[in-house]
Amino acid sequence: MFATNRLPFSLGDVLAVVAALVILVAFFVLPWYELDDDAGTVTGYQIATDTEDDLDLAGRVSHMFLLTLPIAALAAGALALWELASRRYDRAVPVMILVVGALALAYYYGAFWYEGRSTTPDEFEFVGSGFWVGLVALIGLIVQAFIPYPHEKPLKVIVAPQDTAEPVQVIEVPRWRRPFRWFFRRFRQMMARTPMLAYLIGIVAAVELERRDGASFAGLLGFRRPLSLFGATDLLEPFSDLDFSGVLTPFFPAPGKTFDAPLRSSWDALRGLGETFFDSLFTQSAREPGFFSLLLDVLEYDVVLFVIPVIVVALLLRGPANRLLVALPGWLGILLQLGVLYLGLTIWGGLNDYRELVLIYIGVNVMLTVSLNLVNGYMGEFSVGHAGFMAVGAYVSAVLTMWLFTDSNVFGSAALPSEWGLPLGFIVALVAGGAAAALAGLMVAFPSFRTRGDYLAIVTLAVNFIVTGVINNVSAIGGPRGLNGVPIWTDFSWVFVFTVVSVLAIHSLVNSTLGKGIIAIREDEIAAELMGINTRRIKLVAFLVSSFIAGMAGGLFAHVLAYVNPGMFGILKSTEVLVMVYLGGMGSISGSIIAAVLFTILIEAFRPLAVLKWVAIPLILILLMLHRPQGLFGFREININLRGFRGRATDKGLPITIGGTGDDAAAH
Amino acid sequence: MDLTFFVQQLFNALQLGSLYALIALGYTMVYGVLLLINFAHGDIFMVGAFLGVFASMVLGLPFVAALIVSMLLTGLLGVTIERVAYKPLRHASRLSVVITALGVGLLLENGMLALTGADPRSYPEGFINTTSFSIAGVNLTSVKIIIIVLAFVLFFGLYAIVQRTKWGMAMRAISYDKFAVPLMGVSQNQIISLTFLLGASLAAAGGILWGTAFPVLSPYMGLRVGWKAFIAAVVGGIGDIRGAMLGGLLLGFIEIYTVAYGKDIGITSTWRDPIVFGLLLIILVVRPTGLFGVARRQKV
Repeated sequence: MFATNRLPFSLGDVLAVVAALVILVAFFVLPWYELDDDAGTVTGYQIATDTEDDLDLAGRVSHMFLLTLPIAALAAGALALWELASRRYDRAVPVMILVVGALALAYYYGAFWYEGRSTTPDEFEFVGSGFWVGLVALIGLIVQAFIPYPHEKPLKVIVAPQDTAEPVQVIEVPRWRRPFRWFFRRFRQMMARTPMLAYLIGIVAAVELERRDGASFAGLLGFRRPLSLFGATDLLEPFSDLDFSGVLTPFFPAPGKTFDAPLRSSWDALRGLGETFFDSLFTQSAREPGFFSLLLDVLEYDVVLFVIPVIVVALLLRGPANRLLVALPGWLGILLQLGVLYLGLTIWGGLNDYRELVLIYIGVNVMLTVSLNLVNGYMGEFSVGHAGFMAVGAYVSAVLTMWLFTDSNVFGSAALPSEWGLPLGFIVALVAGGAAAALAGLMVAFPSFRTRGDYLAIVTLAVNFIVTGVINNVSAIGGPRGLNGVPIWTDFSWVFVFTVVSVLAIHSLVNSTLGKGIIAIREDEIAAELMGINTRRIKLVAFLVSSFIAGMAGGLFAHVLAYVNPGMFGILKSTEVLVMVYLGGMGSISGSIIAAVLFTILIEAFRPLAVLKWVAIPLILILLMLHRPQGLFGFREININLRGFRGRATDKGLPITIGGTGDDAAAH
Repeated sequence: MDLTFFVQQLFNALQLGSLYALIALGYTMVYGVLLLINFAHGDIFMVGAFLGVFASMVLGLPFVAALIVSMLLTGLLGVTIERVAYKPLRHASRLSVVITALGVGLLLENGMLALTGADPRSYPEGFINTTSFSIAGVNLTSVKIIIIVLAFVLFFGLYAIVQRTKWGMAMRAISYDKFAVPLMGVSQNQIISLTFLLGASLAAAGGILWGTAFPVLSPYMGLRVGWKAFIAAVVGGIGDIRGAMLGGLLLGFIEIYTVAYGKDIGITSTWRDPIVFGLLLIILVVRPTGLFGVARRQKV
């Protein structure tokens, strides 16, 4: 970000000012929509301030794009003028504003296009202002890209020499490719130098946009309701008719169901399957679109409602957000970002119960994955029975809340007044669940002093089996039938708070002196011991913390569906957690978080496939392991900027790593 | 104590234990050569049992022929799995191979479920001789005898291969030092393939025998049995085939006698799993490398 000393205003700047002014004027003066019944036209200002719904826009237009658009134009124009006036801009700022202008055009005519698609094409009439705004913006963008800035060096690519004897090679980029190259490089740089806060605000803006316009936009695309998980659940719906069971059944007949010609019937089944598959790819019927058209619609939905708003808002706000973060003390900045994240997620999850449920599962999975990563990734042990600790936590906290605060037919009437249950009682129950799980963790921690590697893996496995086996056999808590009537207390806020606290706890543990000890055990236990590290104490702490968090996650999980049974916490659940850990990569907290989110959504996305779901997931896992054995983010963290970029060192930035390992973390 | 009851249970324990042992052998051989816990092994066992259904119901083969066909096909499956899924990861970290193995296991069992449907399978009538007779008050079936005898025959056959043949020597050599052996002109890939072939075909034998003893075959049958056999291998000291045999038998004895005599002191059969795993825990705490395992001393 360099201040322009020589030429305060270039031709590009002038164009940007013109575009900004046009956008602003357009917002207040020009007509943005033509009412059908000779009532004239309305300006963007009128649309935006039409709180009483006098114009009956909702009834007329059936969607709210017209509201979004003028506000976007207003914001873009105002920001452009502000940035230009304050001279704290670089070439990217006017370009960004022009991009917004171009987007306004796209949105504007997109809206009309959809309008036309939903009714008949002849019914709508173009209104001019949006077109001209967009045109000015677009021309400005192109001209901007081609005008050389006086203080900018010619664009060259420096190829680092492989061999030091070779001179540095400089390749001139062909003239016609320069603007594009410049644009994409600039775009990437800007994305990388945008602090997290700006993205978070962008996310809030996007989900708010979806809350307002999602339903009508989904309707225009032909969906009945807003897409639940960014369309992930709808995408595989066409394949729900696929039934592979006929393919091999003739070769493995059930008693009394033998086939005369197994090859032939298998072939028939395969052919039928192929036809169904073909149908699901293309069109099935008018009601059920095929996979490809669905994919297009889903992409449109996500890009228009999420991707574009997030990027645009983030890039527009990166300056102000950066200044704000620099001004605030570090902890306040992080608190602020957590608050914004929470706001965005609640708006998104508030739309329906399913979304909230998915968010809860994501939170629980994040807790499980991060806590298992402490043992498997940071300490280098191989624990395969994490679900056992989860089971202990789930049962202990469920029994506590049912016994103390609710009337149930398992434990009779509540032992304490039920008003005490929320929030205090629940916290106590969750912590008690975690503590009980930590006690169970001792069953692993003590053998770990003597046993390592594969044998310790067996110990954890055995603990998992023992826990579920014991629960199965205690009829007082339902035995194999499970525990019914657990109060449904877990909601997104609880999960959010506990997840954040757990992640922060693990993060600070890993970056503490103790955490260095944990990593030292992974690298070489004997050497660590020789260096004076008390490996027993460290192992004890790691296992206790890990199982404590898993127990709390179990407690939260138990209070979601009002029902737990020991089958939920079997070896399959442990495998799931393992998969998430290795998907994200060992020794990476950010990787764990991303993997937990991805995996939870993936599980939901594969739901329509029924049996095939658990064929597809291991297949993905195997392919991942074959091509990226270290997981998505093995032993490294994603750099996200939580504190803003300070001073003139913005090009390098001061990246904060969440849960960074080793020297990365020590550097700041 | 009632002696006939004890002997009766002895045969039950031998039957269950030798089945566990057959599967545990596969775990322990693969571990010995590759240091890999092949978590897909339990599902290879399941595929073996299903291929037995294929051989007996579709091809109409008698017991011994079906056993051999299934063992061969399953052995090939084991080799294929190693070639496709494990071999590319031979130089990656050990844990990513283990995760791949978990994935292969899930893929096998769920793929089987998806491709064949959920009907329970069993072997045809007359597939194996099922006469029952009683000696001195102990009720026996011919199935039980066949299973026990066959399991021991297979074990000694394997033991002979590992101890007496050049291939077996190469196998032991690889598990002793996997870097020196290729230098001696022995193809590591061939030996690993052979290991998987033997392990998978033993699992197939175990699968068919299991299916004759407990005649409900389902795609998930390998899950539980696989874990149990794995534990048997660990108890015996993973990497040692005598240990696997002994661990399997031990596990069978503990399970059967827990159920048989636990009833009198109020322990129902559902307590079997916690007790078995608890014992495992104790064994591992007392002898961390299993009964036959030798602690590898790490040089500093």
